[in-house]
Amino acid sequence: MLQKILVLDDEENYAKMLHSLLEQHFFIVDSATKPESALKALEEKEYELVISDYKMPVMDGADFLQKSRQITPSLPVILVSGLMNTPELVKVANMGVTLVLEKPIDIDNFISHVKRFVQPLSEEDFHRLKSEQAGSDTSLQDAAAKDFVRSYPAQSRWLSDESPAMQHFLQELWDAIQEQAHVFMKSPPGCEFELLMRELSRWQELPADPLTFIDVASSVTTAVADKIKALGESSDASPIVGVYGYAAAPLPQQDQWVDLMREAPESIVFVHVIDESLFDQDPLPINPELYELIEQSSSQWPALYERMTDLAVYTKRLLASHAGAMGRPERGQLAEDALGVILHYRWPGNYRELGDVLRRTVALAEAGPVTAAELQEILTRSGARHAGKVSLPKLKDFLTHEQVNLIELTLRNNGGDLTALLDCMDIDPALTANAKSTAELGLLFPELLTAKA
Amino acid sequence: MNEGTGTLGLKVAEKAAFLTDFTPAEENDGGDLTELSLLLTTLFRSAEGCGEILDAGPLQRMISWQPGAGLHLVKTETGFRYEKYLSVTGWEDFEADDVRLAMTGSWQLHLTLQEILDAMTRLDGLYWAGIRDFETSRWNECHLDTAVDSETLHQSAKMALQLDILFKGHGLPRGNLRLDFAKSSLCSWSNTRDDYYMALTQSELPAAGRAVLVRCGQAFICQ
Repeated sequence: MLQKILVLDDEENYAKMLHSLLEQHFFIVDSATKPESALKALEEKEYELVISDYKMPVMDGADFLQKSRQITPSLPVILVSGLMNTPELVKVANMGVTLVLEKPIDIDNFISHVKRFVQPLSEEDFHRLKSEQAGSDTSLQDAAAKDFVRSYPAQSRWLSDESPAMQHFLQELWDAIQEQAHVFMKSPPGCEFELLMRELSRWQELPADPLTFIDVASSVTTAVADKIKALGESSDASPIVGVYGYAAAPLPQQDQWVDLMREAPESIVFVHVIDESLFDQDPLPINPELYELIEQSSSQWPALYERMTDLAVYTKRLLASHAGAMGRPERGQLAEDALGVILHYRWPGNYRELGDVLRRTVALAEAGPVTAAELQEILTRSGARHAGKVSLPKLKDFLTHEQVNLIELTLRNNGGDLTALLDCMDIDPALTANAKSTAELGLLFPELLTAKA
Repeated sequence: MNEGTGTLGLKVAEKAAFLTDFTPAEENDGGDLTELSLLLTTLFRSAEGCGEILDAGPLQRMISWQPGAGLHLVKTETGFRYEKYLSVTGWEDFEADDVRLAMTGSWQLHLTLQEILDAMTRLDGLYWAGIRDFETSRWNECHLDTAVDSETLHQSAKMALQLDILFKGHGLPRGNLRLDFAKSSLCSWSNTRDDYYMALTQSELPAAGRAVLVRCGQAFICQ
């Protein structure tokens, strides 16, 4: 099935750059410079991913996102933007944006995010398709694209699956669990593993506790072996068994556990969580029998940073839980400035880190609600870097940025050079003497900064 | 220990040194330490009582904290060093870097009480763990080391509870306690309902094991 990406950016050069970048990585791309064209394309064709600019005239990224959701509610949408303020981030988070990336983009990081939703073609297939496309304008339109249909049970109780990325992930797991005795997840550190286990059990109308786990870094004992065997006959415990600890488990140890799993009753489903960093190692330190299965099918647990709506849901839940556990319910609220810190930080430790930071901040807070300064303090104490201090742009910076955009747009649309344009605008040459490009121009109308203006 | 920055950072509000009999050492900056000396003597004796019952050897270190404040007593070559902390937020403020790192990958957070005890049965280095319900005074426990009998463990747990009551009576930070003896370590957590979760482990747990223990403590508190 052909998987396509739709790129939208009002700056034609940027759209072309993204288009070209994606094609260099063998993705099939359509691009548009007007939101209306992009929406029309969404109505007519099927895409696996949309990548859109946020700051656009007439219809901004949030409006486009809202309209695109009406056409394809579950389509992953990545917004690429310069500086976004907190209300904007909250707005797009509430609309279910999949991911927000900052300009300028880091190419490797960008491509790795794209690959989470769309798989590139092989080089050979890509060139063949491009050459067919050159001969027929409609060939791509006729290709069937994969459509995401959510069929796992709705209304998650423990997990948050508000984000499209999590919905895709859960759908993959749900499909896999119907057919396979072993399900594999490549996960970033700190994922909400026990919540997933409980949810999987509940979806299958099985007891959600007690959960059963295997730590493959530990020794196989008779007690554990007996417990696994008994699970196949018991109706009091879920036959879904969580398996973890691969990063610390030598291969002979893993082999012993694989022997045990092979002998386990057929009704048991083993859900393996494997640290994604292990896959950077060569050779992969995973039992070969399991690795063969992983190659056939595995799911990538999406990072919390990419799941802004889930991040918001978990923040609310964890704050309330920790404030309650400490007997300080008044601290179960976030101050307005604190939300910006939550949304800007990348959460490399994912759910655990979020929980730790909120727990410690509730403990630190003199009184509720929790403030940005308190969150920043705990992030600093945890050794977190790039904690994402939130600041709105100064008026001068904002006006200068807008001025550059306007001048570049005028030059692109009308031609001519910068000096001639400045002359037309009756700008004092002394103000622009040292500028080699539009970006180096100072604010051409400094009087805009006065109180009167 | 990462002390943080500014007014919200982890702070040592008081510190003092004592000789082995808890008389103030000469190096202190002055001020009357008589009351503190008496208090620490009482706490130390009570803690040592737990260790004696368990045949765990002398007390090496005691940490007790609650959100906002903590107390740290550690054995030195000449006696004891005492510190009172402010802006304490969690075990992270007292744990080594490797434990904090291991906590990031340790998922045992949202567990039921039974699952906490199950997790303890998989913990290398654990001798005993138990959860005491305040209403019924009953222990739900897992007992991995038969070298220490159940009665002895319950006696030591009772002494640890009495120690916690001492902390409470003196208005000291309480609820999260760690007693490091020469041969073993006793940790306890109490929640807002005064239920207790306790674990007796080897004196030096590997970082991963300590992380699981701390996570289970957090899971217990959030019940």
